[in-house]
Amino acid sequence: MTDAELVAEVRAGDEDAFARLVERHHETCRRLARHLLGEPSDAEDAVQETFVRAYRGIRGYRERESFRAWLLQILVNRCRTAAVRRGERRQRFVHDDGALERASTTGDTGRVDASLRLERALEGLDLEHRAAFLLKVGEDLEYDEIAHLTGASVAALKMRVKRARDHIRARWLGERT
Amino acid sequence: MNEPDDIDRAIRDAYQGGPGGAGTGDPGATARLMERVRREPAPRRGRLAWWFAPDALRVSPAAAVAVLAVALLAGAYAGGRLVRSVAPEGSVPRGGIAALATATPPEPASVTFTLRAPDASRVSIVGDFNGWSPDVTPLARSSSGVWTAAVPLERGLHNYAFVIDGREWRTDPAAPLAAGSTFGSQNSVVIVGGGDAL
Repeated sequence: MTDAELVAEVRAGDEDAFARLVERHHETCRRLARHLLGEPSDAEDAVQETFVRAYRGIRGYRERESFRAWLLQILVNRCRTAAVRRGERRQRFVHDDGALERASTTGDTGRVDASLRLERALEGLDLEHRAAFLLKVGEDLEYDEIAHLTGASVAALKMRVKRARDHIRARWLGERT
Repeated sequence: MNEPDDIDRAIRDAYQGGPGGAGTGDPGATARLMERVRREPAPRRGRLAWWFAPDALRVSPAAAVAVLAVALLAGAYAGGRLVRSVAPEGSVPRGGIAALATATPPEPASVTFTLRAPDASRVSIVGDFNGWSPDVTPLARSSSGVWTAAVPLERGLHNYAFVIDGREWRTDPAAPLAAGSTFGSQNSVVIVGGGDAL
């Protein structure tokens, strides 16, 4: 069953259909929020708010766009609002230098290592640059989709992706040396 | 962007396999989320469901005239009780200006948003009240290039921005407060019901 068909079921009053949409898209939302906001608790709140608002506003979804893109639009804006309410001028990222050492006992060092490297590579980027880069490179969305869901022009997005990519690659390579 | 190379692929793999990525999810998270969703009213019956509904509201012309007359009388009576975010004629909207508009109950209050943008071909308002969707709440243009929309808002704080021609986000130049953003952009803020609504 497609997302649009599930949406129709939700509109008809079937909560289980919404649960299936949550199952399909929760991880995507969670990883994007996690990398946009940096803090797991903020990310989880943003994801919860996103799905609740999507449920409330499900009639606002138009089948001509993908449900995933519509959901990510809400998510990006929830992340914006979350950070505004947090009242910070800069993103906070907690360096956990002991994490790699502890992770070596979990048997999955490579994944944790790469994950921490990415977090550090993202440091110093504002949310708009992170969003542009991660939606393009991480989620493989087209520029016009990203433009629609962020409200930025395609030209601006290409510039953000380029700047973010340069920033991330430099720090990524620096972490490896 | 250039064609992805090995570094891009490694970064993408780190993103997809990192926090929130495949295999790292909290198995209880979706259950907690659905528990919260199930406490929500069904979308068809939600308080704001009508706002998102694509169905046309059908009223007779006489009823429409009557409703308009009542609205005009109510507006005249309310006078300055609704602080509207109206851009002064001839002012040049500037980004980054903080914005605050307040409105008193009843709930939801109708708040009128106005932007002078004579060169725009399309203006809409986005905010946490409409899922930040540029398609949901268009503004109507007057002959003088002032765009207006009356939006029903629930009591509390709402972030919003105008979207010009579907691509340019702009803060409300007439609103006295804005939410400080860490992302290189700002939102305007409207508080419905005054400070005690927060």
